[in-house]
Amino acid sequence: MKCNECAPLLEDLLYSNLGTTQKDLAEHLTVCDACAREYALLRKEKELYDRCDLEVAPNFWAGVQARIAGENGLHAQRFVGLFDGVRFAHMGAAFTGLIIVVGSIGLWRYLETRPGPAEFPNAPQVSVATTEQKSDAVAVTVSSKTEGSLIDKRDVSKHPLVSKPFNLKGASRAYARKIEKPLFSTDTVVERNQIFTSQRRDLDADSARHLEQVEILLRSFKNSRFLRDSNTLDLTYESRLSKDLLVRNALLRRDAELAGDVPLTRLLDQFEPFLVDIANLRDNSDSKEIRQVRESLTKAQIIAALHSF
Amino acid sequence: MDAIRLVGKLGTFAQTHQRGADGLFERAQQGDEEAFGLLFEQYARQTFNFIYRMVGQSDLAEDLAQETFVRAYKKLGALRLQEGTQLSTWLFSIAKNVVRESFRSRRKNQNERGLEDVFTLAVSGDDVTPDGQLWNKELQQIVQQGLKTLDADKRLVFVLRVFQQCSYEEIAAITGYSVPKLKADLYRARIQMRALLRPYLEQSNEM
Repeated sequence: MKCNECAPLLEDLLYSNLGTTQKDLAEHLTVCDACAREYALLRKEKELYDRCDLEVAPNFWAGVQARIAGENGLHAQRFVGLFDGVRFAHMGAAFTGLIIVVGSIGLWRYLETRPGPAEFPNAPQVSVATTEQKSDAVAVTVSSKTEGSLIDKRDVSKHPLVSKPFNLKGASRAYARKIEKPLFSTDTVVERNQIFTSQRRDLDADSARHLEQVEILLRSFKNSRFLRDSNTLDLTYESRLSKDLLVRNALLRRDAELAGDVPLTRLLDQFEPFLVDIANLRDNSDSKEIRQVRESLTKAQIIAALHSF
Repeated sequence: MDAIRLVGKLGTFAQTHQRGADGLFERAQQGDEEAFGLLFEQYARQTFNFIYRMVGQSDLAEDLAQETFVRAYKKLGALRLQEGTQLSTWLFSIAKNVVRESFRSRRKNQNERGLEDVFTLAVSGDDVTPDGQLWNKELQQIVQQGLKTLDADKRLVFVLRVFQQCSYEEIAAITGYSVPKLKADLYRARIQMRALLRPYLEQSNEM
């Protein structure tokens, strides 16, 4: 073994057993004075440092145990405190849960027992009556059962949302004039349809169903054909359906106006005269009256408006 | 009788002893203070000396050593000792961190007290004469002054190697340094300390 190999191992020799290397190292130290002096110096240093080893205070470990006990006590307090918090948290959670349950039950009961639009006890009752004196006239009246209600039994003519009582002859005359002067010009209808299309939104189920029924009725009426060798047409079903739709139309128009739904209000307002005309047709109307209504229907393009809406 | 019965079963006693130590360790891990004391009391002197060499103040060293054991007690439950790892290595790692935190807080407080309490400490060894005691105390002071001149890394490595006699692997595990760096730091620290201790080395020859 050479000196440069020996030097790094001298320190290891001080503290540990080097195994087979230790024998070679010992042999080298016997023949090499420099390495032997270095090793001797290391041993003296070690002796000096060993003399510097200090005793710990007698109560050192008692102090450690006291601190551990203190930590345990603190931990236990924290643990108990944690449970205090948990207890309060549980109370709070239970109280919150109770409120949620009671609220849910109340909401469920309210929703379950809440009357529908037609079931409101104070809601205005809309009825379509055909007077005997004017068998061919339809009057839509809005009445309320509530005493002192703002909408206390009144004629539909006084209601701003409902048109005046309809009279077949008056309506026919009015539409006879409208044939010469259509309700809407083609441009107006296209513009309106564009507006409706661009502002397409989700209607409520009642309105959508109503519009669909009106469209089907008007389309059916428009496409009906006269029998051969006969100038009459049986419109009993259409007339009755028109009366039903008129009632619903009045209600929906009122709701739409209250909700601020201007396009729907306008649309409901536009096809109502046609429903009135159809409702006022006699069971076996002559072809002239029917054609007048049909032509006005075609001119107004109300079916297209309904479809696009 | 037990000894006779154990003959022919090599390693039985060692296994029993190991099981006992393991049982002690498990009890200590479960928070048994008595088991913790039995297991760690033997490291009190080593830990205190290590911390004292690092901080140079006996009161502070005692406080930090106690703090080290309290932390060890708290962390023991989560300790998973790998094969070949010693408890002392783990304990010195905690002590090193405690000392570093103490250095940081002392740096903030700027209240270092120096080494004035060296002479109040009891140096080990019962057969020391009054002259020898005085010489030892003077040596303590010189050693502490020398350690104070070393930078933190060299001091840590030097203390672990020379005073605690840890192996390079253990020092590497405690400090996180590589073995070549440890050897280089140790060599430089030893040269530096030797220059300070030269008169005592010569005196030691004469004694």
